[in-house]
Amino acid sequence: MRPDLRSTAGQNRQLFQPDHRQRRKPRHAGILEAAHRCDAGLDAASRAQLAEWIRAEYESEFGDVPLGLFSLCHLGPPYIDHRLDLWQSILEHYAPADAVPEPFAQARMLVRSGAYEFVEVYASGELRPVLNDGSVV
Amino acid sequence: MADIDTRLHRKVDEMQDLVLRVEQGVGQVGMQVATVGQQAQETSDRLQQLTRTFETYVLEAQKTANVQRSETRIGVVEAQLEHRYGHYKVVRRVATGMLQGFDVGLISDDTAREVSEQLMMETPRYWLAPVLVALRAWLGDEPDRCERAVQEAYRRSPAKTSLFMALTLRRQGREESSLRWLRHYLAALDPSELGREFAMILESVSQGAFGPAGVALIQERLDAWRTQLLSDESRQQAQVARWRAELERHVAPSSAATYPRLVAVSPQWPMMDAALGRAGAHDNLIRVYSAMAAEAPTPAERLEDQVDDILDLLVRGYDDEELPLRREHAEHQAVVRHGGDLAAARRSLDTELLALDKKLDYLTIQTESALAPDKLGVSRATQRMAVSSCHEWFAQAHAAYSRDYRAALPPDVEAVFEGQHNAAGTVFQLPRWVGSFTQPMEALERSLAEHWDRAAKPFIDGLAYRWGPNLIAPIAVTVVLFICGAATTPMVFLLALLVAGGWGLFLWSQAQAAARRQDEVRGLLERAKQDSLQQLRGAGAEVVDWSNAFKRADGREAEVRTLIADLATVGNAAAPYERRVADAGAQTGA
Repeated sequence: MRPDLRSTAGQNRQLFQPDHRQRRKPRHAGILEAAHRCDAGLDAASRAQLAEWIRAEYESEFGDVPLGLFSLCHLGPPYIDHRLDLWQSILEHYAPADAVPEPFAQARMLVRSGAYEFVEVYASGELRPVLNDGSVV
Repeated sequence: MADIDTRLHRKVDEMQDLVLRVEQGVGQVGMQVATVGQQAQETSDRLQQLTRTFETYVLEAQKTANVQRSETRIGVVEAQLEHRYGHYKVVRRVATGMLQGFDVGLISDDTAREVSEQLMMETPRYWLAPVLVALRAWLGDEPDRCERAVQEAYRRSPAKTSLFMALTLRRQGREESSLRWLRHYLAALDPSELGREFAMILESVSQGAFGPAGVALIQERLDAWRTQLLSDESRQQAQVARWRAELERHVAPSSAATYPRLVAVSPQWPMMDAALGRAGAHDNLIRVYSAMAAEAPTPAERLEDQVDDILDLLVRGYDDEELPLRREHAEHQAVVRHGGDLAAARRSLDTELLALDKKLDYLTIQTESALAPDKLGVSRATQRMAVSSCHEWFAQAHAAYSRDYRAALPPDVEAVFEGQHNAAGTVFQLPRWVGSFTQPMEALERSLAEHWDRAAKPFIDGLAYRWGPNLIAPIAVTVVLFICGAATTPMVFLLALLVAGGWGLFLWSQAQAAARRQDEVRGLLERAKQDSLQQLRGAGAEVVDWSNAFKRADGREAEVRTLIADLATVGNAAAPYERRVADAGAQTGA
């Protein structure tokens, strides 16, 4: 049988410098689910717990922790999107007219497209949208 | 004393007269200066226009000259190619003919010997000529001669000769020898500096030309190279960047013609237009690449045909010697194609010439086979396979492309009405008005209407007839006349009444005229306001249209992702010749 050309693609990934490969690793279902929990009302304690859990996951799995996650809000009007600050455990919901603090503001148009589960916002200003299959752009 | 006073007065009067005259003179000079200034302005305008016309003319003339020069050069280069390498064509034709002759056994040994030796003499540097001699010697069972000829060909072009021998032997059913040559060929290659002919190897894989063992051998080598090259992340990034350039090629044109009102009122239009155009690329990508994914490979009837096709490509391919001239030819053709625009020609060549470049790394060859198959001379099947093995870069480039245009969307779409957006706006000195389409349309309309009313109010109020000041004089005169009348004769009373009545009538008609003028201006205001509101409503409707169009175009992004994932598997469809061996007919020619 002819070897599979495509199978080489998977191997190549492992050859990157570890940090790059690690940072681009698809986000697992646990993180996607955790990001969705922001849509439910959370008290301060469970919010802090959630943020801490996500932070720990990022640290161990991907080696790089974002400032926070920005995603569409499903609480209903007037809110359309929200940010979860992983370091200060702040969960803030925004109406269309509300100003979103930098660097989260840049993620707003990205989540509005509806194509991404959430956008990771890094301190450097870098935005990494995450698709619903967990893959990172 | 009084005398001096009078004289002084007179002098002062004269002085005042003089000053007055000087002032008049200065006034006249001022007017003349203004006229001169106006004329100078007109002259300068005309001069600027002339400069512009002249510059356009110069540019056009330059372009025409460029085209003419390139056309002439194309003729010269073609003549040079014909003159210097025209006889290579004969060798190529003979090579194909000789192989076919072997198949059917219709060429006599003498003829083959004569022709091959003749060509050997005529093309002293071309690798294919000794190969022909070797072929002939092989057929005539002259091992010594054959070996010497092969050695000479190998000296001239090791890679091409090895590949040719591997293919020919494969064609004749000599698998073992074919693999030996193939191994020879692969071992001699540096994956970061491959020649263009390496695309032929990809072609062979996609066509299954070397049989299962050959494909396995090549595949093993390719995997090792890929691994080796991808350890350098910059190479990977270069491939992603190349795919990104391919995506940019699919950007849809500006849709300004569809949204004229939005173009007129919204400062965010350029961003919106860019985003819509970029989202439109998904549609184009789906059209181009789904056709590729859906295609079923069309197998040729016989393995020999397949090998012949590759041999044909190898044999017909430009020799490295010809490349400088070929490159010049391509450059001039690009200039002609772009109507003499050198910058545009260079831009288009930057991507195209990559395929003509002498040395490429293996990853680039994959990408180029996928994106510029014509330049590398690979078939559609190979292009499909290359797209498939590049799917990861394609997907990465596509994801980043989508992210970038989405992030560049304007967060707010505004309508801006400048004072000069219609004639009345200029008359009323309308200040700038800004509204955001995130607000409901009724609120926007109300705000704009109020803005108009506010701006026009002082103007309209200024036109109202002012009874107060105008009444002072007639009342005063009438009162004086009455007092005089009381002191003298009753006739003056009558006169006073007449004067008061007449004057009153006159003032009343003036007031009427002013009221009429005010009404006219109010009408003008109303029309202008309606015009602005129309523009606003039109733009609002176009914002909705644009938003729908963008959502529709942007929504196809997921389809492109699926398509790329599909493309990743098409290249792995079993090639039709995997398990075939050359038939008995071919073996008789061996």
